Amino acid sequence: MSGTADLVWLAANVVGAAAGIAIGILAANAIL
Amino acid sequence: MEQAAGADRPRRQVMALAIAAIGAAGFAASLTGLYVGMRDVMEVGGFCARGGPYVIGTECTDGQVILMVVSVLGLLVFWGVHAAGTSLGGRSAFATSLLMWGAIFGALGWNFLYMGLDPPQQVGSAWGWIVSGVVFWAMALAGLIPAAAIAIRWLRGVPEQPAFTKGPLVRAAVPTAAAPTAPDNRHEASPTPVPKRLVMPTNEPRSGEQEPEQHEDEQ
Repeated sequence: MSGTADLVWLAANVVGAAAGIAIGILAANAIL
Repeated sequence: MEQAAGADRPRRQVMALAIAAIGAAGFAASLTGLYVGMRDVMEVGGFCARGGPYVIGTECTDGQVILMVVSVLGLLVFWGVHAAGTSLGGRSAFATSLLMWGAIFGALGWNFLYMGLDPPQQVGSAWGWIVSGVVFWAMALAGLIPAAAIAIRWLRGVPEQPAFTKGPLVRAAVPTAAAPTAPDNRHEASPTPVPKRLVMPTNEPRSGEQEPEQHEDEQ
């Protein structure tokens, strides 16, 4: 795997995780 | 065929990346929900229940039940989704699974330690939470340390060793016609000569041997 592809992969996962945390906070506060 | 496979490769990579990103987002959302739900239960004493024949001190709310159940199931499902996307992209799902393991036990261990050091008024002794927090963080380290070792090797450009091989680990040496075969000296290594064929003894008397005499009372 090339370095650029690895960085794109890493960035997608980090952005996805950050979005997931935001969604999780909003959903948890709405449910509780 | 090779051109078609080469054209499908970028599309497959993009699909794998999308699946992995969805898995990461779902996993993070589930872990956040579990973290918030756990904190909510700990703030009312660390225990709640619903239903059953016994008197319940602290009744669980609908939100607590839904949040905890959905979050735990979501963790497992999106962990699998992320691993599937990562493997489809030709990358190691093992390394990211170690990170996820560390995230779960690190986050929940932080909850235990934070609430254990500053417990709510209705909780008498919070030593159990502190011990649980220390154990959870030790379990988190068990995943984060090998994950860090893998990350350091990746940063240094060392190629990753496959955790599993597709082929058999042990193969039999099949002699071919071209390859010289070793002489069959198995019998020579034996101290006593071993017959190549098992000879079953017969009941017929050999030449020179006398037939066994019959007793008179048997006649």
